[in-house]
Formats: sequence, C-alpha cells, structure tokens
Amino acid sequence: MMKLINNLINIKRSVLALFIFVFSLSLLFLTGCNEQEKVKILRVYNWQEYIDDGTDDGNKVYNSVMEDFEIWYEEKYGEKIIVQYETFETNEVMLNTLKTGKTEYDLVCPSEYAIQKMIKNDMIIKYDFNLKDKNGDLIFSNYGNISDYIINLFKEDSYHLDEYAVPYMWGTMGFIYVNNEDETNIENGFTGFDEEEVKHWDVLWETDLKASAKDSIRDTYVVGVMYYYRDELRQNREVYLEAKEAYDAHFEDYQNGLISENEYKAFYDEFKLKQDIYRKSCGEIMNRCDDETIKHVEEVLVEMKDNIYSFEVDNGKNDIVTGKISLNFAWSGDAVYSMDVAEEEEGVNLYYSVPEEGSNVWFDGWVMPKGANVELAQSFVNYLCSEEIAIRNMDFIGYTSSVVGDEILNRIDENYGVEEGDEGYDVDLTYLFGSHVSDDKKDENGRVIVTVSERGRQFDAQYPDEEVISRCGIMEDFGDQYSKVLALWENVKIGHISPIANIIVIVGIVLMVAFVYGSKLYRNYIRRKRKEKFRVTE
Amino acid sequence: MKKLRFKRKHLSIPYLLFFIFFVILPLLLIVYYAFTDANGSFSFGNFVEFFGNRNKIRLLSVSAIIGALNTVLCILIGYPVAMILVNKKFVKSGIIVLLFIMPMWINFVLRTAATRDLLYAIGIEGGNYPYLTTMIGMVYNYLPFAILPLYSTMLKMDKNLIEASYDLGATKPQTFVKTILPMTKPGIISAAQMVFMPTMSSFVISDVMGERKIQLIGNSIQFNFDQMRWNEGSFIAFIMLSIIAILMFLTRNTTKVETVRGGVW
Repeated sequence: MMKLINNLINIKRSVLALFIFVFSLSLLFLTGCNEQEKVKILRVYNWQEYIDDGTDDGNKVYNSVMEDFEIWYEEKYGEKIIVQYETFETNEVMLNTLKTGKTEYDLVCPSEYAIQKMIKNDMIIKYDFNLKDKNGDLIFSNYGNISDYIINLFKEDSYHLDEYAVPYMWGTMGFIYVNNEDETNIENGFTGFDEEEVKHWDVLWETDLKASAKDSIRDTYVVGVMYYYRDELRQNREVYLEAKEAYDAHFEDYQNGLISENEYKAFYDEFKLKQDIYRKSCGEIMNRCDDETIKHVEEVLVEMKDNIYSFEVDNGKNDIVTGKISLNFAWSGDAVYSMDVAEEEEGVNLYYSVPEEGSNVWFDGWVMPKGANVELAQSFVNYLCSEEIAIRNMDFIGYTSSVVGDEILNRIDENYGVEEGDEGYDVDLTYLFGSHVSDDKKDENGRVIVTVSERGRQFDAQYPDEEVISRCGIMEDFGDQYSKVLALWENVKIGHISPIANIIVIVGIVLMVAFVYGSKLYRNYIRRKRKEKFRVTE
Repeated sequence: MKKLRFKRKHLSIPYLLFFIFFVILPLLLIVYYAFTDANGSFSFGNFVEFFGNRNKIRLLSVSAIIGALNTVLCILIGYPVAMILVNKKFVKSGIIVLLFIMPMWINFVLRTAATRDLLYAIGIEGGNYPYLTTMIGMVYNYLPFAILPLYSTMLKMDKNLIEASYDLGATKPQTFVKTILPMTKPGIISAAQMVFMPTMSSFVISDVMGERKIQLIGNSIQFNFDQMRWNEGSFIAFIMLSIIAILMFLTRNTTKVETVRGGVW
C-alpha cells in the first residue's frame, strides 16, 4: 500500500513538474510574441568598419548611424525599432553565411560581382522604388541623391544591378606609395618611387623595393590580366588620348568663339562616345577569363610573387605607414586612411596612383535577401542616402559615397580646398555631380570644377577624375570559369616547387621503413646469435 | 517500476556524447564530403583532381619535408631541455620550468605575430626569407609539444640502469646510446607524433611568418573551405587523416614501453 502511495506521489510530482515546465515555456513564448509585435527588428549585414559606428579609437563616444536611425524612425512613425548590426570580412564569407541559412538578414552590402552571383542564384529581391509608407509618402525620397553616373553603370550591367541594389560606397584600386618627389619626404629622407614608375603595373614585376599585393583572388587576378594585356591596353589608351586632345582643342575653340555651340555639342557627343568605347574595352579586357588568359596570367603572377615582398589582406594599410613596405596595391579608401595616418604619425607623405593601363572600379551596394522586411530595409537605405549621413560615413571610414550634392561639394572644399598662398589644381567632377548640384556651384559652361591643393593624394583617391575612371573596369562574376581561376590562384600561392621535393619524401619514407624493419631484423639476428653462443658454451 | 540506479559506468556518458558528436561525427562528415561532389552524389572527382595535380602533390611533399624538419629540430632542441628539466637541481627552483611553460600561456597567434616583428627587427625579414622565418616560427611554436612528452618519459626513467651501465664500464656516450636513448624512445616517438602532423596542417604560422607567400597543405584546406569548396577541402583533410593512420600503424609497436634488457645484454 505504502509503495503505491509513494508511486502516486512520484507521478504527481512529475506531472506537476511537467505542468510547470510547459507553463513557463508557453509564458516565454507569449512574452516573445508580444515583444516582436511591439518592436520591429532590422537585421543589417555589412563590411567591417564600413559605417559610422560612433566610436573613436574603439571607445563609443556618440550615437552610431544605426542608433540615430532608430531615433529618426520612432520620431517619424511613432514605432520603436531595433537595428541588429553584424559584419563580415569578405564577400565569400558573406555568401557562405547566407547560403548555410543559419541567420537571415534584411539588408546586406556586398560588392558588385557578389551581387551578380546572388542575382544568378536567386538569393535577393528587387527594390520597389515606388513603395509608400503608411502616411502615403514615398519611402525612397533620397534616391535622387545618388549620382546618375553610378546608377547608369549599374543599369549597363547585364544582370540589371540597378533593380536589385542601391549603391553605397565606391572606389578604385591602385598603388599607394612613398613619393620620391615630395618635398617633405626629401627633407625627412624617405625614399620610394618616382611618379613615372607607379604609372604602370610593371612596377610590381620590376621593383627592387618592398612592394605588396593583395592575398585575394579577385583583386590580384585583375593585376595579372592588366599586366599580361598591357600592350593592348596601352594602344587603346593612345586612341583615347588622341580623341581627348582633339576634344580639348575644340573646347578651347568654342570658348574663344571660333565654333558654334551646335558644332561643339557634336564634338562633345563624339568624344563621349569614344570615351564610352574605351571604358567598355577596359572592362572587357579586365574580365577576360578564358583558358588561354588563365594560363598566361598564372605565369605572370608567379613571376610577380617572386619579386614582391609580401601578400597581405589587412596589414598593408598599416605596414605602408610604418615604412615596412614602400608600395601597396590598395583600395582607395584604405589609401586615404593610410595617407591620413602617415601624415600625422610618421611625417611621410604617401601618394595614390591608378596605373595608366587601367584598373578596377568597384561598387558596394545594399541588397535585400529573400524574406527581408522591404519597408524597413528601404527606409534604412534611404536614410543612408541623405547627404548628411553620407558625409558622416565618408568622414568616418574614408571611402567615397555614391551620394552627391551641394553639401558634399562643400565638404570637398573644406577638406581639400586651396589655402591662401597655395597653388591649386582644377578638377572637373561634372561627370559625377552633373545634374545633382545647384546652378551657383557650376561655372558658365555648366561644369562642376573643384580647386584642390594637392594632386595625387587624398582627394584624387576619393574622387578620381573622368579620365581615370574611364580606364577602370567593373568586375564581373567568373561564372563557369570560377573553379579554374581558383586553381590558378592556388598554383600561384604554391609557386614553383621543384620535383626534388617528391624524391626527398620518397627516399625519406623508404629510409624510415627500412630503419623500422631493419632494426627489428637486426635485433632478432643478434638474439639468435647470442642464443647460439650460449648453446655452444653450455 | 524499474528504478534508475546510478552506476559507475554512467560517469562515461558525458565523454561518450562528446566522443560521438565531436570525434566520430566530424570524421564521418569528412569522409562523406571527401567522396561526394558539390551536388552530394558519390564521386571520385576530388581524388582524381588531387592526384592529377602535380602542384598539389609537390605541395604535400614540401609540407611533409617542413614537418619532418621541424620534428627533427624540435626533438634535437627539446631533448637536452627535457633532460635539464628532469634534473632535480633545476626543478626545485622552478624558474626554468616556468620559463619554458610561460610562452604557452600567451595566445599563439599573438606570439607568432610578435615573433615575426622580432625577426624583422633583427633583419630576418619574412618577405625575403619566407621559408626560414616559417621554420623559426614552427620550431618556436611546437617546441613545448616536443618537450612535454620527452619530459614525462624521462621522469619515469629508471636511474639505476644508468648507474649500472657506468658500473659495468660503459663510457658516457655508450651509456647514452645504449641506455638512455632506448628508455626515452617512447617519448621521442610521441613527441614526433605531436609535432609532425600539426606542423604539416598549420596555416596561421606560414601565413604570418612567410608574409602569405608560403603555402602548406593546411593553407590549401583553409583556402578550399573559404571558397565554399567543402568537398575538395575535405578530401585533402582525408589525405592527412590517412597519413596519420599510416604513421600510427608504422609506429604501433615502438610506443610500447620497452624494457632495456634487449639492448643491454
């Protein structure tokens, strides 16, 4: 009887425990649901150090852009939201994370070739630029702030990038180097490269000084292609330069009243056409990845590896500051960072140069993976496209925003404008700012000209002029050739290994086996002998 | 109702779970990925790709040579060090032991980066001598792994046998070769096992010390996984596993503690 009662109590206990467990679990879920109804969450996945996160030297000192957006959103719509912000290091890591599907995001910021891949694999959805919020206002009110030039480049793309992505930051790739001709550098005894040397990719193959390239297939493959097809690129450039010279002459004639406006317009259109052809030819050459090209690029890159000092992914921007290397193949934004730091801390003036044969122009854009909260995501991208926030981000990270306008021009003038007594250079930014600035910022010919104090430094890295960007191609996804390019890169990293290595290993293995079994045999032999000896003595 | 009684064998449950989830399952996954293609169907594609690629075979050879060299260097340096550590005179003060163990308390990536900068400061630059700096980094990082097994076998060593050897008229070198060396053989072998494979498959040390100009088989695995080529990466990992298995098989008899009798008689 007692046993039965005991058992009953036991059962009751376990039932009670189960009940409490289920109850608390449901409570947990209920509160969870309530929470979610009240607060919307925007999940953003971005590059590391790619937004103003309100820190200074790692310490948080003011509101990040994300926090300001939360405040702005609550003020505008009276709704509380939370921005969950996470970062990635490379496009490949980002793609890996999205593919495994462990986490879902509303907004991701990959580079153009990764966006193409995502479109191809049907991972992202299109923007709805006509979407209205609950007040009936257009959500994407700042789309007009993005430079037409960049939007057009997106439109040109065969994957229709413009429908899936909103441009964020952009830039070129080039050399950051210690300039021999700079007066401060001469005074302080820093030596590096002449301006002429860094105008060509050849410098990576020929220099005796310490140069560094990126340990990244995408970027270094482009270097190899540009170097291998350098003669073709130079020929194209000559044709382009001739056209440009002719156009400049016509422009002068027009200004002097020698030709009519209509005649000038015709010359202008012709030149633009030629420039477009040149730009596209550079892009075409840069993206070549047929078997023949891959074979030759592998050869030249192995040669390059033997000549340069190192490959790097993130040390480069600091190593060039400390003087460990004197030339680095870098992204323009990193170049700006290095120039700023080197100037302040080491007293060395670094310069930036995009090789004349051509280089790579890259864009990062905001895309929405499938299942994203479209309204919230677009609202955040729109917030980022306001001039004020664009300037904040640019100042913080050093890269160039796709957003243009009067305020951005003012910022350029503030940062890079000529000080009294200095010699200034005029740079034509019409192609980028063209229709986005008010008339009082333009000259009588409708051009947007800024006067800057130093050429070849921070400003040029941030805002390349039209001639530079015309020789820069946009990367495309390798497509079916992807695995062959990967194999190329592995072979480059492995380099030339003499077949003697194989022989050494085989000999080593044979010796080892011989030693192990030989010693065993020898021992047995000795033992046998001794036994015989004993037998004899017995 | 059957009562659940706590038995001693239940203590093994936590480790059993650990063993299944973190040892058996990953191994099976490696084998699965190694012999399937990207779509998940069975294939020998990775096998053909690896053994059909001259460069990869040579890479495996170079990694093996670096691994072997590192093993030899670590044992050559670690053997006398272990002998010093076993000596009671030094152990009492504790300082020498501390000096050898202290570097292990510092994060190894940090340690490697610091070694690179130190070598740079004294003029041995990774970009100019990538193999030399990588070797130095390897020896520095794996030396403790060689010292510890040697140290523990030397502690167990029977001192009477050494004395007996002297009493019977053996010279110092003879005593070393015929008595001490055979007694520490298990230590040497386990030190070699602790150093050789990790050296071959390490990728951080070669990346940092060789300024990313050196590729070892470990870098190759990491590269493949980075590029979402899990099958190719797994196949290389599978090859490494096979090498370990073969080495274990070859040294299976020698790890048993041998009596020194056979040698002395």
